[in-house]
Amino acid sequence: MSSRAMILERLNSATWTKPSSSREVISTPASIVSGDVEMFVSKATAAGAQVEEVGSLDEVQNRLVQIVQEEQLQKIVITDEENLKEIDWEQLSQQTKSQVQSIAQLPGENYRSYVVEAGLGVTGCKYALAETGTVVLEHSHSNERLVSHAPDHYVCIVKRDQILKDRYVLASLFDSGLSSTAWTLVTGVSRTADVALQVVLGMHGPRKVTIFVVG
Amino acid sequence: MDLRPENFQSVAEIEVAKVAQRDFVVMVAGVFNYLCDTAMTAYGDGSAQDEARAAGAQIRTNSLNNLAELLQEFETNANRNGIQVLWAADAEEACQLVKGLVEKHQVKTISKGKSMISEEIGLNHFLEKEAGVKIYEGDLGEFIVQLRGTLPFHIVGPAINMTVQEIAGVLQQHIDMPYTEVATEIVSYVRTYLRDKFERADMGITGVNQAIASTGSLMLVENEGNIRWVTSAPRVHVALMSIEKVCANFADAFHLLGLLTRNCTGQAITSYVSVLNGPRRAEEVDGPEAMYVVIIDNGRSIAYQDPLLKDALRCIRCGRCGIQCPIYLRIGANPYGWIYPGPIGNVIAPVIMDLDRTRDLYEACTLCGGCQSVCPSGMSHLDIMTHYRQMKVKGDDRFGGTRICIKERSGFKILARGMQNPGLYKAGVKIARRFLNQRSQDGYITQMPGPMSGWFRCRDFPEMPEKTFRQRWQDELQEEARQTADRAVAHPEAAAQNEEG
Ligand code: SF4
Repeated sequence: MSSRAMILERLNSATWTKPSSSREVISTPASIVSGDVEMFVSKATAAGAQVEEVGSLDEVQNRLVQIVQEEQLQKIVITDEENLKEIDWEQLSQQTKSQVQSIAQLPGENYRSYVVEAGLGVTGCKYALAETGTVVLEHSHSNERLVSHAPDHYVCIVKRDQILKDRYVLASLFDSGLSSTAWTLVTGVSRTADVALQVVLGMHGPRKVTIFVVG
Repeated sequence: MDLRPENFQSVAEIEVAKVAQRDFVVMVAGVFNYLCDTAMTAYGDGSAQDEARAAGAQIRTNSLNNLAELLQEFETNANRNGIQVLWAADAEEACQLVKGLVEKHQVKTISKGKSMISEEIGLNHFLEKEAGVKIYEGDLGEFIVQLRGTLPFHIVGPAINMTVQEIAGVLQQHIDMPYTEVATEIVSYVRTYLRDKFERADMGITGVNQAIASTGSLMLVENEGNIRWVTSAPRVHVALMSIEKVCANFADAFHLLGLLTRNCTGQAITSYVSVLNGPRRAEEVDGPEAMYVVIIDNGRSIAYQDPLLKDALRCIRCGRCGIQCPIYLRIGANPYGWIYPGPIGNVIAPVIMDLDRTRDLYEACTLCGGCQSVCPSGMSHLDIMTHYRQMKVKGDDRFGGTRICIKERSGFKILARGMQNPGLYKAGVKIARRFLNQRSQDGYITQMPGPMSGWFRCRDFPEMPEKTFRQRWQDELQEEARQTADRAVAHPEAAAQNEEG
């Protein structure tokens, strides 16, 4: 008998009485916080992100120029998402004398070596959660996973209407079907407390996270 | 120190004397308890928090009631997503399966996300020895423990008992870190050291926090970002899960996630939650080209058949019960002699090892109930531990429990008879008092000859008072009656008024 068959056989032959209904639907507590942009900003800030509310993508572009200049960044990697296309990256590159590469222009092996050297990664997001100040990334060839993880500084652009109330809303969206290979919920900055309980930011992920809330 | 559950008592004697470690751990537990209690207030007042925990318990009940069905549903959907699902009856088979994948994909180096099940099956040791691969733990605490070659101290904070000096010493010795006691510098050095390993690893190995049956997805939870590397950079991803880590859907998974993180680190959510649905597609670069899930039994399906022991599978590994446990906080992790210390070890170890080897674990519990009062998955630690004790007394073939010896059985029989008969009980107390108090020193009996010597080896017992509670109670009643009578003689009018009133 295979291990699979043996395990399932043992589970199925348990003699204690199981409820006859195959699966009860339980009610999780009603939403535990009511969310809005203000809440998203305060929660994301508390988690260690720097959050800025801006009126337009032009403003995002201006702020990015400042960041690149202040941090003297040489290489920037951006995803191939629709809302990022409205930013004039060529102009930004010229203004800051930095190299900006979209993952769409980078063939596989070049992408990997570029992304680990980039000082700044910029992505959009699919959703955000007000409850926890989380950005929800849907990964695909237009939003590769390491763009938001390998660079020291990660910038995420969130549109106001992408902000959902909480994880339960996200769960219902996920439960109605997932087609992408991976999703990541990012809340603030990577951290550890493994050295004698001292919280240190920037363990294996970005040391700095900036979120622009647009609109 | 030979750390095995069989050596619980001797190791506990050593550990309990480490006062500085104990004070530090108690302080850490206090901080975490405060953080967790504060985080739970997000659900509302006490009753709202109870409701949230009850919902968590109900989710686990549903998962366990439908375990076979959910595992098959998960397998079907995971296969559809391109994830290959393998099943292992025990630790040996699980290790062999992973070794097979290492060979198939010509793996030389492996990066790992923190995974308790991989520790449980001894995967690192096996692969390094049998497959000649190099393995790097990605979680900082786990990495330190790996270099040091010791057991994790806590299921969430593996090196949380170590001082900065000890950590710096280990890293200096094993990976040439220039000695520093500055936490940010330590973190920065390890970040750079491991980043290189993450980028080059051929295979990533992780555990699974929840497998979602309805979509065939995996949910993985972390703060450091090592799991994101381990599941994004290598060519192959192998996820290990024990059979109980499955839930019906995302509504369930996200509710458990909230309870897990709030009771683990006191966070509403961790820095990263990864939801993985399959290997990368043709046009994608990040993510593995091949993805496997190994579903591991290792004794659990036998426990599942027992109506009470199946509840040992409720645990979602938040670690909250550990920091509530007065025993664990005083003796630390080492005496448990295995990777799950504290109450969760007491509950899980006997079904995975056996009742004889782990006897001291479930017998060392004081049954104070601190653990189950905070558990978000509805675990009845006390029922399970008393059940183990009964099984051990009676003997149980399924879990390697030999019946206790004739001397012990006879002792308990005599005790039971005495407890049922007030006359015998009184007489027994008299004899016991004389016998015990003869051996008392400074008000405590610390050793005993003969068959009781084992019991006293790691316990002491206060001297028995001259009078039992019942005698003192009767004496007090008599004294009160005497005083009332005296007052009546001295002030007859007042006594008469009192009576009328
Ligand atoms: S038994 Fe309960 S409290 Fe303890 S680790 Fe498991 S889920 Fe957490």
